[in-house]
Amino acid sequence: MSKMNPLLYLFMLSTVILGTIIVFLSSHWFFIWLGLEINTLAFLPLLVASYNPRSTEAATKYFLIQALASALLLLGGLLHAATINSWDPSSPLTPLPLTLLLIAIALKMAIPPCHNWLPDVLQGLPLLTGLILSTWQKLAPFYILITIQESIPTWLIVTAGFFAALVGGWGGLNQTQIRKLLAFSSIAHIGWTIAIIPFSPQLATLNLIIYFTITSTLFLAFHTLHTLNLANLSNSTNFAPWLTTLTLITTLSLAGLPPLTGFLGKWLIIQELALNTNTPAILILVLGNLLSLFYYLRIAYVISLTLSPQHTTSTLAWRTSPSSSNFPLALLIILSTCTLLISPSWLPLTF
Amino acid sequence: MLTLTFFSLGITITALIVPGRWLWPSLLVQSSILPLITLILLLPHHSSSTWHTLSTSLATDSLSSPLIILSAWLLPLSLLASRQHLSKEPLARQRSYLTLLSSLVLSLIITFSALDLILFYIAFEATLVPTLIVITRWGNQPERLQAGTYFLFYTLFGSFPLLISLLSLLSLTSSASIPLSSLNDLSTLEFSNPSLALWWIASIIAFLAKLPIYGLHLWLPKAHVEAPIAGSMILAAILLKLGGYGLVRITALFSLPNSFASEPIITFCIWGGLITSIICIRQTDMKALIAYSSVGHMSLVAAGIFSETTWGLNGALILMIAHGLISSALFCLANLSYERTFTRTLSLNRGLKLITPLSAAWWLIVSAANLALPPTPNFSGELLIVTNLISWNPWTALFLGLTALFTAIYSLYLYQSSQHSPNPSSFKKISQTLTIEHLNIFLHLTPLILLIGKPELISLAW
Repeated sequence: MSKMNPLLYLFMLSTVILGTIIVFLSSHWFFIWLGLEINTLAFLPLLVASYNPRSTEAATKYFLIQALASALLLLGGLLHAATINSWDPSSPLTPLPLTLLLIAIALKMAIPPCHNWLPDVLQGLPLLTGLILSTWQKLAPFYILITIQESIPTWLIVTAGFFAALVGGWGGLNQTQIRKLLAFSSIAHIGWTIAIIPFSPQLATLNLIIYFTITSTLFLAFHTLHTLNLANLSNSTNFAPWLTTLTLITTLSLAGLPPLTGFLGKWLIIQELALNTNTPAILILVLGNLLSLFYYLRIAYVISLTLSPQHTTSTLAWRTSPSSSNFPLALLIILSTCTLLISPSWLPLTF
Repeated sequence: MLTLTFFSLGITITALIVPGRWLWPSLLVQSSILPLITLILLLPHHSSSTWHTLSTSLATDSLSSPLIILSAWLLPLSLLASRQHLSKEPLARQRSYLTLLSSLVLSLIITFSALDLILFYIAFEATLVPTLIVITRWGNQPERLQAGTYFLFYTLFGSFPLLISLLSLLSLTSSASIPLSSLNDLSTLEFSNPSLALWWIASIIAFLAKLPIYGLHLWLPKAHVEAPIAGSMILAAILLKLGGYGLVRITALFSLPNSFASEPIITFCIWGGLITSIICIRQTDMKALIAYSSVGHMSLVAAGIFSETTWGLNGALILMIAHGLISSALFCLANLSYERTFTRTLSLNRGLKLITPLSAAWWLIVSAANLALPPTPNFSGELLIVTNLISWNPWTALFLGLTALFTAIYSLYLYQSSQHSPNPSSFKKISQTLTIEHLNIFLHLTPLILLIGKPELISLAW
């Protein structure tokens, strides 16, 4: 991103934010579409800010997918308006517009079977841009999904959720690239999030926030460590011992091991699903989580559990030394490991 | 209870912040005070049949207080045992090792004293992360990564059904409180017997994998063989007992399905005990042998718990405490010879009697206790369980007798092959045993021997 004029970068970034906020504020399908398009078009220059063939490819793929999704969304909105003569997104949807809108949202949020673009696009981006892609860019489609959730059949969204959890777990098993792993982890977490939407949209939002916190920590940590693949990660512990130790714990938190933050979302989601006696869905979600745990565990092993006495077999990369104080990262690490212990749901257990 | 939790939290914080020169002295002193405090707090109430030492959501009863005392007792011992192999590590790593061990004990104390099943579950799972890091970071061989994966996946595969089951219980009865669980009569809920049995199995599978019983045990020998000494000690002594403790608590919740679903499990446990004791005989690795012997003993504990009689439960508790001390002592002794011979292979650890005579005496006592020789508490525990099982079905006498026979064979084999026969020529320069190591074994055996005279301290009051 250094090759871009900072002012221009800032302008594009605020337009990305503006687009999402337009989506949040509009009660008209046309303006929702408008907000999404502003958001996409402003995000594209950020994708190619560090100009190389990979990022160009990522930007092209991203543009094509998002253009398709926006077109479907607009078509869905138009059909909706044509059938029941209302542009209001919260009015009940008829099947055809609903299907189009769901495909559009699935494309935007990378919900299987429309998820394959995400690992490829994320792989072509610098980590900080990837951070925006896997957090902020999910917000607008998530908001639309919450808005129309009344019209969606419960079985459909729960099925999509556990498919995403399984695909996210399965896809990451074979990866050695950090960004692809994070992409599959994103798919799996979106799966957990949308599976709970029909029962409790608030809980889905909470889970999304928890996921954003933990994944931002990881993106920032890997950015600080200048690490893009597992082989490179294996010798980063000599470079920043405390940071790698904390990243290890954050990874386990993303995997949802108690008593770390990541467990909070999973706990409450399982509780809510159990309240609705939806045991098969829980079992499949948990199975997907165990699959994801396998690659989180691999990151955890590589990052600081395999030091000497083994000799490193990977080449050492040049790294600039990290700045001595990194306040946002420190704050995020605390949030993404200790939130469970200070969360209100912990209180009835202890006091 | 807050005294105990805050004290062990204090040890954890001390390990993080104390200046390097004072790290070991302060940790050893603090962790030695911890068992004294547990004794002072918990022992006076051991005969009361209700909950005591209450704080808002933590309390103990006659089942959990012996286990808490055992956890606190083993913290200083495991620190003493790992002093030697940590001495060459840089300070920051020693610090993180000590932090992990003390936070492990903190979560163990919370697990054993939790009054709420959800809090129990979280603390139960909170023991995973420190143990995983201790095994995979401080183990010696590359296989430790596989051991860590096995450990984590076996435990989590079992414990997610447990979480689902506990949360279903919470949503159906609106209470996950352990003391109130006797009021939750699950039979009043509209469930058929098979689905209740399925629910019951989902709740116990985590503890069966944690104990472990035969069939879910594959992680244990790997974890024990690869873990550093303190990891092995705490794993064998306390983490396995988490499984037994959880089983007792959960079987108290489900009284109905036990009657028809537990019979196959008891049979399976008895068979498992026999098979593991035969497996023990053909082990070549000292630590693997001790680990498999734990599996065998824990199978008996599980059988005792599932019989749901006073004799069975008491026997299970006594055997858990006695086995906790003995298996930990066995790992200490195995480590004592490993630090001198640098091998765990039984056929290479020969003739140690000539080199380290005092430890030969320890090996004899510990092996005798491991095979449940009277009058050790191991014997009283096994006696209670075996009597109970024979009265359940006389045919079990055959298998239990064979198990006892093979247990005796492998315990004596372990003693004999390590202490007798000429020592290999490579053993010319073996360093002397240290007083600290003898102290360590002594502190394992003293409570065991004293408990012979006062077994009611580790028996249930309800």
